[in-house]
Amino acid sequence: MRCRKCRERAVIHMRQHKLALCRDHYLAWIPEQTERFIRKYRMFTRDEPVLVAVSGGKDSLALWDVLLRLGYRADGLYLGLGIDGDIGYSDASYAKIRAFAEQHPEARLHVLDIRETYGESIPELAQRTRRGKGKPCSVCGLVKRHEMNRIAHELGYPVLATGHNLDDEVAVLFQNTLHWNTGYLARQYPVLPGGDGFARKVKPFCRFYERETAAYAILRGIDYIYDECPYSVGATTIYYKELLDRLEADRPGAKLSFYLSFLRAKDQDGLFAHVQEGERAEMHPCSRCGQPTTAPDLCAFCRLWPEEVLERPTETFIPLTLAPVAEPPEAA
Amino acid sequence: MNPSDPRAMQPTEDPSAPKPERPKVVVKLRGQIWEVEGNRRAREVVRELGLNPESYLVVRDGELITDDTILRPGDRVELIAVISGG
Ligand code: SF4
Ligand SMILES: [Zn+2]
Ligand SMILES: [Zn+2]
Repeated sequence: MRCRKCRERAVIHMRQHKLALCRDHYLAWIPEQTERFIRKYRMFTRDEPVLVAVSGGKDSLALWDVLLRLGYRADGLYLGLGIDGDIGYSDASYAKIRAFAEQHPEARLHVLDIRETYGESIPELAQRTRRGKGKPCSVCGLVKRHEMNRIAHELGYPVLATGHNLDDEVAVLFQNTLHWNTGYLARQYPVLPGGDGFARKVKPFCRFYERETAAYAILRGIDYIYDECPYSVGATTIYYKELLDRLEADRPGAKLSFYLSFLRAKDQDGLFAHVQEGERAEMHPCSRCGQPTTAPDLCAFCRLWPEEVLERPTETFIPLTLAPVAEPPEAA
Repeated sequence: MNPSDPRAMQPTEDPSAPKPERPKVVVKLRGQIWEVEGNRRAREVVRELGLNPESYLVVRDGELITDDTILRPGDRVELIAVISGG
């Protein structure tokens, strides 16, 4: 197969776009498209510092790479979850991220270790709390969301970016549609507005297939963690992704069209708009941390920890900053 | 076919039997090795292993190739799983 633009040997064929590209044209196409999505969904501008949540996986490192190539002020945030699973998962992820950051002196990397900060790793926290019984994913997701919000807020980043790709989005959309979970469906979008000092959340890769972000990482020589988190084994997301890939194999473009028609229904027909209004009305700030919650007093994160942990001096909750950089970002 | 047993695909060592001389395509995935017939498109090889070509990238000699590429006997390819969870 040949590149549509130059007739060189193609490295990727994107059936949903009927587009095959060579290495060079593909490495140019990904940032161009990312830029297009950033503008289309009004995610952020070049004046706004962006905090990229990096896990060490292909998507988040590729996203950080693309944003830096595009000239955005993109810094990384890594949360040390303390997950080992006999493969030293967290340590290995962190090593990949550091290696990436060291090659990019123009960016800084913020690191927060959950155990050092709160006294328990994610698996330990999951053991202790009712919410985490069985699988740590529920507490893990909760902690990550809370800490990303908090850190973006404290370090003054108006924008928080995650590496979610189209397959992630479609798997969640599919799951939420199966359950008609209107609350989640109402909130799913490439950009979620910030407010009350909290960062806007953006997903600049939300229209790339997972195979495209993987291909980009490989072609750019980004050394990402190929092993999965040991707790993701048997995750429903993976099951839905496999199911959707079977559909995609038979009907190229099925995933893209599922996602885009969902967005169109929201944009043009106001699908789930009333649900979102209702949800927003029920939100109020947590009495301890100030993050928006529907719970009556403390948010779910603050309820996870004993009082003595949360009452420590505020400075102890600030992440460590690595990698050389010129100036700190301006406050939002 | 059970992809968890790569040896199932290989000819057994039997010195008395005349060995088929045709080299195979060697496929690697997550540390496992398969040997399969060549002269077919990469996507057919992936399918033969019971995998969905949509969920894998194919790398030959360190280069990404499209799944319509014909794999020749003696080629060594690596499959990269693209689905990640969590
Ligand atoms: S798989 Fe579960 S435990 Fe592992 S990083 Fe994802 S949410 Fe956390
Ligand atoms: Zn080209
Ligand atoms: Zn709180």
